Amino acid sequence: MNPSPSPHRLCSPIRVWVIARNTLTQLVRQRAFYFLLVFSLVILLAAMLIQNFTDDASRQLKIMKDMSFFAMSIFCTIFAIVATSNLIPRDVEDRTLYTILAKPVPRLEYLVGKYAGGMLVIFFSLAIMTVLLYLALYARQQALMAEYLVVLNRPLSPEGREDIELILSQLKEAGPSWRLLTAVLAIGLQALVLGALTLFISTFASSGLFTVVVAFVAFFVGYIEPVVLDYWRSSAESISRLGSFVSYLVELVFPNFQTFNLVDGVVSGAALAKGTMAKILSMAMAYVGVYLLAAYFCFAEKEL
Amino acid sequence: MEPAVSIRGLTKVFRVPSLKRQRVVAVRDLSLEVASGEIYGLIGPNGSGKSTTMKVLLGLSRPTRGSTAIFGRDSLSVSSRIDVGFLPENPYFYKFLTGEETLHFYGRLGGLRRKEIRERSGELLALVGLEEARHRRLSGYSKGMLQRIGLAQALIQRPRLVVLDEPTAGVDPAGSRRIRDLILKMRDDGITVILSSHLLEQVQEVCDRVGIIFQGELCREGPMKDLMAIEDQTEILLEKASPELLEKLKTVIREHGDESALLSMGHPRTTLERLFLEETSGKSPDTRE
Repeated sequence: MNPSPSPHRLCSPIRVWVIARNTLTQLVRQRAFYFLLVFSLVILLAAMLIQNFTDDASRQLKIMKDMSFFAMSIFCTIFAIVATSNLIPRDVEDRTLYTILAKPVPRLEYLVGKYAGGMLVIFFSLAIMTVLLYLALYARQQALMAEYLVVLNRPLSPEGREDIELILSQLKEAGPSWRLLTAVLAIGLQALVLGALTLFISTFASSGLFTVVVAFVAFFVGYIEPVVLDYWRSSAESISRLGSFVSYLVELVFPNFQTFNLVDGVVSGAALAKGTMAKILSMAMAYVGVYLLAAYFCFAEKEL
Repeated sequence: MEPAVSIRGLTKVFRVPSLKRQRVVAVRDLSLEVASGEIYGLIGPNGSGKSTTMKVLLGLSRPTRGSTAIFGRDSLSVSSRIDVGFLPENPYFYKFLTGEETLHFYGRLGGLRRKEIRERSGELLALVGLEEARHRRLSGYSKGMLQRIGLAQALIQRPRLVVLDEPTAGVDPAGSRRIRDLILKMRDDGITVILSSHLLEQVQEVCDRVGIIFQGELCREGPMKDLMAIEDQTEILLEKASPELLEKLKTVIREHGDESALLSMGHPRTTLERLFLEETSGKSPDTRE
């Protein structure tokens, strides 16, 4: 029997998935995962050298977490901008886009598929990095606890015993826990927003370099915007209507990327304010939706 | 019968990014129809509007005025592309994919199921002669192999119309001949083909009808035989004719007495392509008119 195309659907999740999976393969085969190797080496190296930095046991684990989250954050930020900036322009340049859109593929599906593929790489990378972090943290925590348990079994003064027990309870607190996942999730959500913003810029940008520069500037503006605007509002004697409107517009267009920074709180063990995750999640989804919609409007009218 | 392609009054104007807001008319009031099952050649110099016409037909670009339709469906609707396969000029498919993965990717986009794609991939890889290279990444393919995998992806969902933009650009004569044979095979299978090429000899060999486009306008169009025939001349091709017979023919023509005249007589020449293929492959390719 001759194969025949199945009936055409206006929006097919299968086609979106096919494009997303292809983008994932593209990014992985282009050795994007080599960054993961560097990351795992950093973690392992940190785990080995950490004892040289400080004698404070729980502080050793804190430094380890700080370093790991820094690496995750850097990886996701750079990857979300640099990888996404080239997804569509490269297809246009290589004319691969012609062969894709010459099939019954709506431009929206192509756009969403490309974005989803890029974000899948971030998802898998974060998942692997998180597992590595948990393993390294657990191993170090167990090693430290074993050392202190040996000390605890020796004859000690009551004060000395109390000190060791305090250290052991601090080590238990500082080890791997579910709370760390909230920081990982926030890093991932920030990458989702940055990816969507970069994709939007790439639909009208004249070059990949322009896209990367504008995306990084937008990220920087979003990061410092709350501090700058707060300072300006508190120091200005009176704010004109225009000034107020412009500052409101800046707040609206550029997401406040400080909102996604949960690392400090999570690492220091501070409790998250109620509704923080819901706020971050809804904010990320709203910005992703708006940026993707804007990207679609630009891309739908693009002459190929 | 519904035409495979219908282009009516197509005009495409591009804005040139400049301070003066200049505009370039790439295609001007172009109308043509391609019947189902025929091979239509669109020829013209660089920048004449061939590729723009094809892009509008495939919905990759919007017409400024006029309309294009494929089997009665407006080109702007995504569903018009269910029945279309396209091979762009110098395609650069995803080099990280193997030949088989490439067909799988395009097959899924074309709406085929996995099992169907497996069967169809096998058929097409055999058809384009890439069975051996099916597991090799496209980064290791030659120019001719890329064109052939391009043809295979264009055919993956059994389209009724195939649009080929310079399908033999940069391909050596042997590869070019192979692609030409594939195009003729498509016609045998009832597929409509629109072909744009600079190689006029190749267009002449395979096309049923031709449109000549110049500065965005369709200057001339018609069946190949009508366009190529010189009405007031007649060609007689003889095999193993003796010198005596040829002399007799000359005498008969001379003695006939009307305006008829013998213009030339001699051995027909082979083509450079045919000579090249004979020398490089060691066997004579079949000749088709």
